[in-house]
Formats: sequence, C-alpha cells, structure tokens
Amino acid sequence: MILARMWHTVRGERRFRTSVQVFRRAKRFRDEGRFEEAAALVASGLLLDPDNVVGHLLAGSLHAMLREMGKARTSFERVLALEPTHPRALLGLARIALEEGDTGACTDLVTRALARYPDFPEAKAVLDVARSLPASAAAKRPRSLEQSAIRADRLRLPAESRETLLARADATLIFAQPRGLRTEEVAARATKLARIASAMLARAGLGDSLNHAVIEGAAETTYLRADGETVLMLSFSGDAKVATALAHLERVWVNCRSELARQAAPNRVA
Amino acid sequence: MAQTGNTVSSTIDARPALGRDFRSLLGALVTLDHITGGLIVAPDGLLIAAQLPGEIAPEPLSALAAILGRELELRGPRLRRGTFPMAQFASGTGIAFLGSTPVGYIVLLGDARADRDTIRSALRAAVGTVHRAWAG
Repeated sequence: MILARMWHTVRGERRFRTSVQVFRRAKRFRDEGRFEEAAALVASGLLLDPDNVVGHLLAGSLHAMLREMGKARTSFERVLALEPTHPRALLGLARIALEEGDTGACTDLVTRALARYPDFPEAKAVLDVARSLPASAAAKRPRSLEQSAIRADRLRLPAESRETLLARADATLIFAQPRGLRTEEVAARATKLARIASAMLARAGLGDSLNHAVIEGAAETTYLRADGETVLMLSFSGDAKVATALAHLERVWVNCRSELARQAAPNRVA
Repeated sequence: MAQTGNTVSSTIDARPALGRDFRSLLGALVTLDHITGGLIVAPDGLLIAAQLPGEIAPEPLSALAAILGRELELRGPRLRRGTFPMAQFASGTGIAFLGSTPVGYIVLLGDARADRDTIRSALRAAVGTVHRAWAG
C-alpha cells in the first residue's frame, strides 16, 4: 500500500515536471514564431496534463494565431473554468468578442481582467477601443439615412469611384452611392475601422486621430477620410493610382464638409 | 537610415529564409528613410518582434495593431472577406503601414516625410517573403 502510494506520487511528480517542461518549450517555440512545433508540443502536453492552465492558454493563443477563433474561444473558456479570473484568458475572449462586434461583452471581460491585474497595458488599450465604439445593440441596429440627404451632384464624385459613403462618427449614414441592403453595415464598419486606427495611431505617438487611410484589397482599394465627426469612404479599382485617388478623396471630402455646413445653416444662401 | 527602399526590398527578396527570421526582417525594414520604428505582431496580439522608439510602449500598440489587422482581414471596410495585403493610416503628424502575412502583421511607423511608394514597395516585398517562407 505504502509502495503503491509512493509510486503514484513519483509518477504524478514526474508527469507534472514533464508537462511543465513541455509547455515551457512550446512557449519558447511560439515566441520564436515556430507555431507548428509549438502547437504539436501543446497538444502532447495537454494529453499528459489535461487540466493545465498554461497549456490551455497556449492552445488558445496558438489557435488565435492560426485564425481558428472558435477553437481559441474553447481553450480560453477552459482556462477560465480552471481559473475564473485569469487575465490573459479574459483578454483573449475580449478580443474575440470585439471581433464579433459585441463591444459590451468585450468591455465586461477586459474590465474583469483589469480588476485582477490593473497594470495590464494590452487590456487597457483594448478597453479604450471598446469604450470608443457604439454599444453592441446600437451597432447592430440599422441606422437610417439622415432626413436632409446630401445631393450627389454637389459632391462631384469621381466617375472612377465604385462606391461612396459618408457617415457620422456614430455610424449614422449621411450619404451613399450606390445604396444597398448592407450599406448601413458598411457605414458601421468604416466608422469602427476609423476609431481603431485612430487609437493605434495615438498609441504609436502619431497624433490622436486618423486623417486618411488607404486599404488595398484583392480587387479594389478603399480610401477613407476622417475627422472626429465624419467618415468618408471611396473605393476604386486596384489599378487606380494612389495619388490620383487621394486627390479625389480630398476634393470630395471638402465638398462633403461644405454640404454639411450648408445643411447646418439652412437659411444661409448656398 | 542609410539604405534606400530598393536596397531593402532587394535584400528581403533575395533571402526567402528571412521570412521566418522576424527580427532580421523587421531590422531591414526599419532602416528605411523616415521610418521611426516597427513591430511584427501575431493575430492574437502577441508581440513577435519590435524596434520602437523608447517612448512608445510596444504591448498596447501590438494589441491594437492586431485588432485592426483582424478587422481588415475579416471584413474589410466594404465587408468583403478576404486578404488585405497592405494598408496605410495617416494622421497629421505621421503614418502607420500595416502588412498582412500568414503569421500576423508587420507594422511600420513613419514620420510625415516618409516616401510612401518606397515603403509600400519594401513592405510588399517583406510580406511576400513571409508568405513564401510559410507556404506549404
């Protein structure tokens, strides 16, 4: 009996030591960018020690790196089942919530992480962004076009532009051409992008608001112009010259601002 | 700051193995004129490599760069899912470039005088090098 207990103790200690070593090595591989090797080690480590918090946290991180967000969520939730206030797992879930547009859940999770570990710079940055975005329910609700619509001819849109969209910073659509079923959703997305980009620029020491952005896609390039109140988006085919497109963007932006000012003072002669 | 963009691009192109050596890759990019720093960040916000001025904290920047990268990757401004090879975000005082790779995002920070074409060309080469190194 005593011998059996000793054997179990020795086995347990050896297993524990081994899994710690495995996860330590996996973390080193992950940090060096050797993700495949890290993932293989984590999988084998979790077979040895299925309730290891570090192992599940590493698994969540590696799934997120491989863009497997469903699996990442499961791993982070497993960590929280074992350690309910683990700040890294809370941050991982908060980031997934933000990706899914659930800013309320993101804010809750990251606030919990900061309650456990107040000096957590990544969590503070994520919280700043989440707080700057509209609440989840409001973001999902389609926002109708403002009553006093801007006249397209006054904006002098470039013929090459495939889509033009003007929205308030709270994602209220002001103008869209063409306008489709998903236009409001695109407006919400554009304003969200502008806010995240502004936050990133601020953290990079480059001022606190986005002026313009150029986003290359597979078939077209999107140009954003923004200030704290309004976001303008134009899209052009991928072969349009950047300098030309930016000149169009700036001209339309000036026209938009002029139209908005004219609407704000309707009695003034245009 | 001595190397030109073309020189950096050629160096990166010539060394596919560099696509797995993130620190060397970033080290070459931050020598571009008017680039003040840069980082490579995984899609989950993990900081893989960074060369930033001392006054900039890398962790919050990497967290936000990853959120921005994922947002573009998932939906793009026009809600079209797919890859975005590159994006640039300008403020009144400087510019941030973001390149998408299989392992995450390359971020370069530049001042207002940064030559966008040169930097885009070098970043495009770096993104291609990482893609080739991680293909298959």
